[in-house]
Amino acid sequence: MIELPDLTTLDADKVRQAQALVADSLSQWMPGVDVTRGAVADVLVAPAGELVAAISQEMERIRSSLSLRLAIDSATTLDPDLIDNILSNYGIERRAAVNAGGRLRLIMSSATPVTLPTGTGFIVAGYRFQTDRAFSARSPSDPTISATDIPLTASTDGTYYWLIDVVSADTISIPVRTGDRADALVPVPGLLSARAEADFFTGVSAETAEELVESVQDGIAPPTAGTARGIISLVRKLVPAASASVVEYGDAEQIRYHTDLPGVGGSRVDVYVRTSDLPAIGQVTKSGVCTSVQFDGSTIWQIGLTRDDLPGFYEIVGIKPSNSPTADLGVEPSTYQFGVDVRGEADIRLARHGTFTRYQTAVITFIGPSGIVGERRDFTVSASLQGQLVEIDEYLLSRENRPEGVDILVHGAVPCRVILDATVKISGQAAQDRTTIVNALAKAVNAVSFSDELSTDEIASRIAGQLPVGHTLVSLSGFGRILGLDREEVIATGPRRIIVPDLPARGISYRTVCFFCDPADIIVNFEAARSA
Amino acid sequence: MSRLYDIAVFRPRFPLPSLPSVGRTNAALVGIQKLSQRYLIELLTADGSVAYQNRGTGFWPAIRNGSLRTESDVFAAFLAARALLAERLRPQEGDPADESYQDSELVSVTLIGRGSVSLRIRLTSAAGENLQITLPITSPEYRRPEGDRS
Repeated sequence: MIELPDLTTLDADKVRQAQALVADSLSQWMPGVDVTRGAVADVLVAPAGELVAAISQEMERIRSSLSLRLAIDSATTLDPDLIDNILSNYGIERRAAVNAGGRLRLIMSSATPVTLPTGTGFIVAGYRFQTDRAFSARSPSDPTISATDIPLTASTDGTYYWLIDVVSADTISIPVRTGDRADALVPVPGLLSARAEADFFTGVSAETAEELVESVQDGIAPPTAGTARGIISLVRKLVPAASASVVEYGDAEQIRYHTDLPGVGGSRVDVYVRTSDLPAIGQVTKSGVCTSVQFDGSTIWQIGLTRDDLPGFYEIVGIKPSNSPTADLGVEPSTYQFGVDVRGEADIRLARHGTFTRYQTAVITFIGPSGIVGERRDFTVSASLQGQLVEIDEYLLSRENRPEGVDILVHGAVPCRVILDATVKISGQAAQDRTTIVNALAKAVNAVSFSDELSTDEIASRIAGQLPVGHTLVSLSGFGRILGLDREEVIATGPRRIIVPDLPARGISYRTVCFFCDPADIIVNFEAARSA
Repeated sequence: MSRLYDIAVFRPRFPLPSLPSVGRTNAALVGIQKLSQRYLIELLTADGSVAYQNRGTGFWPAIRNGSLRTESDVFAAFLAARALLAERLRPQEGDPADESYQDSELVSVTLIGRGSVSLRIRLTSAAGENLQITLPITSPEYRRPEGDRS
């Protein structure tokens, strides 16, 4: 779409060139008129020259957006509509934004019907969520209940509850956990309390035109598994929000070549994928067994996780007894024992080959509630993981997509948890706005795809225009914690450039590591600007 | 090289006292009349108001903001503008002498009513030719800018 720039913001040299061009054209048409000074120059040539310069600048922007090569080299802002149109010819679509959200349990004092209109707001963990449609609750025995109404469920304590879905206004991941309290922003008749029914899901940022062009700059690959680019295209075809990286024969990170026959190799392809800005939180209810009671009274419990429970999970983030989901005991695994359950579907011989893949299994041991040896009890286990890992794995291994004889193994991206320390100067009467700053920083970090380093200077420049009025980012530093395929943590040093070490044998390199930044991992120090 | 002409913009169909006058003119201007038109445009253009060009003087802004209250104020503002006009109208190589600015003088200031004055300016070209310009000006009603408590 053509949009002329502000005529006062043009390049002065280009305006003068355009005015000279107009003057020259006019003098050919009216050779006797003075077109350089005087009324004709002022009234006709000068404004016409500005208009020509503005049109030229806009045409240059459009021209840059018509060719991917020019778009990559261009310093001007790309036209998102034009880029979308070009890439639609190749079946490539921009990744759409997905807002964060989750499910709330509303506890009511009675079975009186209640309706929440669209846009009903709740504050959960300090963030605003709202309903994106109307919800109505009725007693199951109410003769007027319809198929779209939600039946109120009676609890043993005489109250009633129902579940509604809420979404955030933003795409950013919001750390809402099961049981977090929710406060309605408008009075809801009969509402006693509300809380998160489960951990909220992560949002995904919309892909910018620049990111889209960057992702295809090596050429537009047809979505077939014949090449690394083709595999990435396949992944994005299935999950448009995903970014992916491929490790294949000859790459140092490829550790699955373990043939007994000299000279035999090839055909092992490992794909690392990232499907959301932050790792999703998966949840499963499992039966645990009490294995021992220590002399100090602490009770050891054990849970076995099959490959389908929390596919390819990174870390356990919570274990709670299922009969009291709101009681966060804060128990974390004392020990992990990882394994793989391949069933002949992939060439995996060592547990670390299957780390962060759908074939990963684990036995976790932890100190839990008191019990007796041999007692069984249900626990709800939460873990961070990459969503849709199984779907991607099955899609790439399907008969339609997999080249014959090739073994494709899908891993979640090796996570580098980024911790940032920002110093922000506040001028005038501006109020501290931490939320906007941390969200912008996290979003900028999470937009970086597979890379060997994260430059805090680059992140700072990317968010410069998004800071609240009166806020200036004066310094930004940080470091990263990488969880390798061997499950050992490696520090990615900073402070200005967070560099991924090259440790291919441990699955750590620019081909496997992605940066993840949770807003909660950003420290913001506010400084008052000195008055002049 | 033949002379280049300018198109007259101060050329009323009928002479009106509220419009500037540079004497009898044609639609196409050459010589000192061409110079006089450039001179008037430059004098009445606010300094810095034309993008990408160094144009104008502080004369018109002084009238608009109501700071000219006496005849001597008008003379002072004109003198300040005249210094800048010499720079703005500096001749370029090849300019005919009768189209090149030499000097200008404010001959008289006549009050012709509430907020209105008529200036009589003598313009001199590099060829030594003089032209009398009559410039009637009605000052717009001055309003103190919002928040200005000076």
